[in-house]
Amino acid sequence: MHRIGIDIGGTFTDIAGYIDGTLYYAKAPSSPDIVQGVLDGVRMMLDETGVVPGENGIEIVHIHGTTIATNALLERKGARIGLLTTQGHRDSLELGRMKRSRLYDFRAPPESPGFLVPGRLRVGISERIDGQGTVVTPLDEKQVLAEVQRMIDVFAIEALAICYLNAYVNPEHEERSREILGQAFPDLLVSVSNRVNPVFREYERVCCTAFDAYVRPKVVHYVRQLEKGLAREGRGARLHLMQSGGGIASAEMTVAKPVSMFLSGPAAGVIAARYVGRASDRGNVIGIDVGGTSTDVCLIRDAKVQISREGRIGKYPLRVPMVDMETVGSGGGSIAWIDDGGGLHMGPESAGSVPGPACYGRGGRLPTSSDASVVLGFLNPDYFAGGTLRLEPDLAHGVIAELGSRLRLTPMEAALGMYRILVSQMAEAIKLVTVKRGVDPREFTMISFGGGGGLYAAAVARELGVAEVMVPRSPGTLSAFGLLVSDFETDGVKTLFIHNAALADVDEVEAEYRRLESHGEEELDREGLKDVPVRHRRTAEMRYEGQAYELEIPIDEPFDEPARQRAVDGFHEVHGLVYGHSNTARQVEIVNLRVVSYQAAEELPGEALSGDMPGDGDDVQPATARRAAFPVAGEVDAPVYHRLDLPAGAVVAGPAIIEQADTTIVVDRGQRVTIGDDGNLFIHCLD
Amino acid sequence: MRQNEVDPITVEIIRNRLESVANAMQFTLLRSAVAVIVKEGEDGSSGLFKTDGDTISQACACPIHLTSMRPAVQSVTAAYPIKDMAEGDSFILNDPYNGGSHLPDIIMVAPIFHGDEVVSFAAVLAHQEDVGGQEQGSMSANTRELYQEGLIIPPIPWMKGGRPFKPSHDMVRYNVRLPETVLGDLEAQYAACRIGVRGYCEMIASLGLDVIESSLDILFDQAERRMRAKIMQIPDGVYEFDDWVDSHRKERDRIPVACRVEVAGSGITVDFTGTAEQQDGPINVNLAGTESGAHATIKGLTDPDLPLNEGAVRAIRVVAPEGSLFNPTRPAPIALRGQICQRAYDAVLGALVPALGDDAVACPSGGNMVTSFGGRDQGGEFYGSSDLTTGGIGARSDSDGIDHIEHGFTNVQTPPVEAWESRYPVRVLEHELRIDSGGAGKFRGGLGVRRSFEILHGPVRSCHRHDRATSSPWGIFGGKPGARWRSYIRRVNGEIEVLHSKEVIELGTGDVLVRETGGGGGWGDPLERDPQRVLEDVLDRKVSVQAARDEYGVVLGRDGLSFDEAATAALRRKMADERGPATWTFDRGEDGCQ
Repeated sequence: MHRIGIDIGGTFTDIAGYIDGTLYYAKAPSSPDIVQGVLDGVRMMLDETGVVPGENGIEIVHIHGTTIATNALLERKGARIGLLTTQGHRDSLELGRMKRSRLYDFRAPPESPGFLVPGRLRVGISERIDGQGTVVTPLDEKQVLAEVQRMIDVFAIEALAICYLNAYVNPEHEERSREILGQAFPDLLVSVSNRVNPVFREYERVCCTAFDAYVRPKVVHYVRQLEKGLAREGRGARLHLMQSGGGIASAEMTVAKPVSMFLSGPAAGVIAARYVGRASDRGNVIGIDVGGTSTDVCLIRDAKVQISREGRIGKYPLRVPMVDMETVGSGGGSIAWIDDGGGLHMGPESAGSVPGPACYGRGGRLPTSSDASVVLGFLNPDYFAGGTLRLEPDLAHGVIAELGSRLRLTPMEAALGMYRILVSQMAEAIKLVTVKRGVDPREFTMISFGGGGGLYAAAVARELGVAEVMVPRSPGTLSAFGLLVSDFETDGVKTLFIHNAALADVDEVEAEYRRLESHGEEELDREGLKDVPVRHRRTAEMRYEGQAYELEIPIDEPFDEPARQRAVDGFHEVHGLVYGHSNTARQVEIVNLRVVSYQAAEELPGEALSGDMPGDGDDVQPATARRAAFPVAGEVDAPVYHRLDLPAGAVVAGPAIIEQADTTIVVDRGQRVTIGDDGNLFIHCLD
Repeated sequence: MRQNEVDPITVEIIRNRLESVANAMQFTLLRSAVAVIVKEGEDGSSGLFKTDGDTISQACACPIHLTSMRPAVQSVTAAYPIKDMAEGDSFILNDPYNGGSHLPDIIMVAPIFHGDEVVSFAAVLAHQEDVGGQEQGSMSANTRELYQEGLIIPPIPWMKGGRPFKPSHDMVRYNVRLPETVLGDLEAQYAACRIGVRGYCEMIASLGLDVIESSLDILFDQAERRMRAKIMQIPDGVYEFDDWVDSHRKERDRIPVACRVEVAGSGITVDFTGTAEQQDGPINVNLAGTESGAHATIKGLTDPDLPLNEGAVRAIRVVAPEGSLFNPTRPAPIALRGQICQRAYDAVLGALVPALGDDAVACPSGGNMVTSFGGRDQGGEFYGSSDLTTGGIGARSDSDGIDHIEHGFTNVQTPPVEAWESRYPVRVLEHELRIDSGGAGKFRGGLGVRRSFEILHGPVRSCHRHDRATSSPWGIFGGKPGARWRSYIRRVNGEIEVLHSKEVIELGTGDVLVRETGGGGGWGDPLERDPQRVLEDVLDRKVSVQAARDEYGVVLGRDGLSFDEAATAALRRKMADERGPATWTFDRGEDGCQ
């Protein structure tokens, strides 16, 4: 099967193809017209590989569609939507949970996404279902129709969200509302909570449902345009899209639940980091993706991507499965500044890409970490991003010298100081990510991907006591590669409060799991890959009685009495791992049952990953040398190597700089680089 | 090594690492804690302290703990000579009159050694689920003296050389209602202290104690200079303000709060002289809590991101006369200090309004409302749980206040309606914005909410508490006050019983407890509010048609979707003429004073 993956970023579009057993990569400037950009990418890959349409055509195209949903939110350009809720509860979306993400500040902005639906478009409907699913007040169908008619007539809504209290137990009123609205207003796009996110806690559910409606018209339009374009120019290619939980879904599945496209961007990178890590027998991985304004950090344990069920977009809850990842506020654009007390700091303000660091020559006047890397001699001004952007060292020197003079430091001292501070910040931030999850970073391999990581990864690893950094062959296009190796997935969930899991009715639970599985199976039969078996992963979200948060525990099939006991034991064990204590005397509850139904992505053969490697391992000569200052080695004439010249088995001792089109790798004294058989580069970071 | 021998790069790296050690302690506490109030409510704080109690670095999830840890370190070192301490020791205390805050907050202090010498302390505070006393949760509204509030713990050893000190463990175990939870949380506190000890020792190993200690001096000075630079921007002067706290007594009286803020150059003195005497109900606040209130306000107004260390607080002095509400003496009860501490915070905010002009903010609605419910479900099984909600915050010079959000002193969450209804025999009839509760103004105060619970199976015993039932969240510079807080019971027979702000009540099947939280004060003359925004507030049901007319002078069009420009202009002229120019600074509503 042939696959093309297209990762659309703000500046560049990365394209990866796995065609006739060979991996291809390409990079192109992003087009303002995203649909056209995708089609151009497909055409570029078809032209390069010479695949003939119709005969041996591309079967599948995987896309990162994140930008559409995320941008609609960031720019506040989603649809005008209405919201039907239960009478007495119409404001739950705006009231939120009252907690603040920023303390002390009297000028902080709101915490809840009330802007999605202003009060005039929130209506409380006369209906009520209680916490056990019993109808207390019947649905007032006339009111539903009249209110929606008014929203259309007066406010011209483009989509509608429906979220009634306790609909996760009994969806009857939501489904009936959807049905009568479908008959009365066939063109109105409707999101209902029991389909989008049938899980308890009404604020989080109404947010998810409202976000779904808010982006629905845009996502539907985008997907339909892409399908049309592919039918016209894509020579029979089928469209699939990445979801935030790291799985791939069909166009129809995406249109049915647009909210699951939010934050799918970083997911592909994590999937890829897991893949290349596992291919090199590294199951415990800290992935770092250093960008301009921030760094994404993910943890992979036992070759498993961690999925979070309590995702957020910014500070808003967005309860769809998301690849567990944290963003820390240090990146290549982080700005150095001196506070009123005379203290030097880096970030969290960043120069972004416009105006960008001073060395970009786009009007940036503030000293950033990239400027420091130029002054230190790490970055080659003529070969930044493969030479696509020529850096201006004089501008970098100017801003760093100015900062240094205020601190009575030479420009080199100031630049080295900025670098050291940034490294220390990244290391401390990563340490906290691991502390929160109860793991020790020293037991992990760090994988650096994206363009910026190579400058810092080895130094950060040394601070953390991490022994090894791995830089894959094409770190800059790793996310596009991730699209090629993601499973095709669908996700089912049922909230089922079982107050004593140890005594759960095994037949009832088994029947619920079967229902979820057959639903997933039907969906994948209809939408999924041809001739690939469907498998299921069962989990349950469980907690100690009285807790307000759950842990997700794997569940065996079938759910019989021994499986039930293993589930309870498993919960105690995971609670101990995650929270540092467990109490087997305490009653354990089941809150949600979950099933992920999936079709595994075809494994790529090892040769495909390593591609063409230069011949012999012994003859390793630097391409050139340049003056550079390192935290440990100090200022030296550092040898500069070209990554693509380094053969398998090559060994390079630091201090050294290794350049490749999509990243620059800095190796200090006491560190050593080796090249693996598969072309991956390893830095041995500790003396 | 002299101060100037540490380069600025090393100083910043040390600052960053100290912050990270405090955060790692805090994450460890939150991760390992058993109690929901710590885990979800984040009612805990962690930090590193010098041997004299000076704050090196603090991770503070709850501003009410801002300056509450220093006295704990000092009480421990006063009771136990540092030279007798050993690696792996830790001490606990909760006595509000000897280093603590209120009894549920147990603070643990552990020495950090370099060689044989104690060089600093790690300290961790956590709010316990129970420490004994009259009611489960140790937060009764009915106490008259500290002894009724629970187990009073002076500084005592908790761990000796890494092993539990049995007498202390037994003493706690047999005096609290939830021993497993409390001992579990103390274990989490010890784990967090150990993370602090390890982190600081690693820093000493890699950077050297001399370098760290010299850097601390520099960091304290930097934070102090940074705070003083902000204070310099506030005009010098003496600014006075007074306000009220609801009495804990059943009579609907209120008791005075007075605050005098003196800004002189780069320093501020906050003096609460004139505030009521200490009370024989649990509404007193000890000096550490009062200081936290004053510091949190000033930090919020000047430099919310200022690193938390000793230097940050040096520029501010807080005075409260002994024996007063804000500096009581033993055995005045203290459990419900949270709501009252908020009044100290408001008073400093109010005092600085004339000095700050556009940087001032109107009064937040008043804190949060906590209501516990305890009863038996249809199956006869006992249950107990607490509900939390809050009001809106005050308007700013450029934006409306936010509706239903924490005010800045605590940071907890409202439980989901569906959590209540799935589990307990109650039905939440309403949880909606309270129309017209935000103070009118050019910028409107944030709104409070109405949250009503119907009891499906009585009897239920409920302890509920809030404040600002007898005083208004004030508006400023022409802005109107936000609505006061109120709560009442609608009995099954239709009778209405209005409640006082702190009461223990009994509810029967079919009774409805209605709670309405206050709104934030408004900023600026309501007649200057953009009529379009008033219209939008009406459409969004934040302001009624009548209030649009009476408060804002906005006349709506016949379609209800527009405003009548000519009629609005005429009405506003007429109202302005009758009223005169809006020259007053504060509006405190009925029986307040302008």
